[in-house]
Amino acid sequence: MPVDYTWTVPTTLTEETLVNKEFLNAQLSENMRYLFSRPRDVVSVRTGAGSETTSNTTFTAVNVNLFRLNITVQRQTDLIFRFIGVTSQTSNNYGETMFDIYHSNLDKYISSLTATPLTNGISRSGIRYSNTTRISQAISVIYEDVPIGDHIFDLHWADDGSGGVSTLHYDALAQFSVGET
Amino acid sequence: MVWTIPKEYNHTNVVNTAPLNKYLADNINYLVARPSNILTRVLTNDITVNSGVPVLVSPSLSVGLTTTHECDLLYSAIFAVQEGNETTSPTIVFDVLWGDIYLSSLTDTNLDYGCAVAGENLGLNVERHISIDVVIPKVSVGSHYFNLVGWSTTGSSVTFLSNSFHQFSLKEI
Repeated sequence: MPVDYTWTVPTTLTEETLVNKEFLNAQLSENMRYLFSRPRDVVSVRTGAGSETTSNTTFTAVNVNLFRLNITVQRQTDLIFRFIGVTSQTSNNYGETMFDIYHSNLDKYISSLTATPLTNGISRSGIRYSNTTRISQAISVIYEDVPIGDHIFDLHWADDGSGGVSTLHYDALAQFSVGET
Repeated sequence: MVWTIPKEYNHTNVVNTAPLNKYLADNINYLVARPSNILTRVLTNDITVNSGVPVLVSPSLSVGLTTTHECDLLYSAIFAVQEGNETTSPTIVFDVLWGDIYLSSLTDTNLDYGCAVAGENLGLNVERHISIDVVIPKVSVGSHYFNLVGWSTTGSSVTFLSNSFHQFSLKEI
């Protein structure tokens, strides 16, 4: 996402500080605009048809063309991620789907803060006894102390390997977002 | 508090108490407590929905907010439901009506599985918590009301229990 407004670290005023228009525009107006419209990226799939599937038991991107977030961090900050979607399993016994968020440019997962995700990612949930069962997935997670710079985040997922295939359906809203907390 | 779009300063601006109060004090106060509406509902009685098409769950579970500037909103809902029939393997679907449009589709026709589902084979009297967080970018100025709607794709009722926690909120972000 392009930067809408520039954040300038507020100055501690002294008697020698010159409060001119440049000072007021940067320290007051631009910083206020930044705080009103803080950096955010949102991707939503509302096609009403289609789906993604995986039987991979290691975490891979759901779809980098649809579920990739870009955000520019201008000061070290915390970010909050949200994801909602509806999944199912093709297995007629049981099955679970795991989700994680991959910090692409720093090669680490939010679940572990390393290049190797936790076994169950950020969330793991499923349902038993029906191959048409659908279940809501809802993730809200805070990622602390993100450094200054441009950042790329991909939604990753994995199947539990119980014999079925995890499916993310587009006949329900799927939304993935990031923003400063 | 009132938000005023920050001005561009030039050499001729006089910075006295009025603009400082307006552009500094009022705006900071606005940003530190941005408009929100949080509805934590304790139901007097159970609410049961029994419909094959989207219907308003209850006006008491609707939440509204008036925006004074174009902004992003976060709609959040957490509620608990109980399936009314285990033999028909129903799927209970939830969506949110924002005026005449559904959050699932941003049109006046909902997506088949809305924003959230309570899956099949929950089992009779099994309770499930549902969480919905949807970011709505660039909401225009005005009053906005968001109404939870629900239905079953396969024929069943769903009940919102009076002894469970139900919260609905809107917040500028």
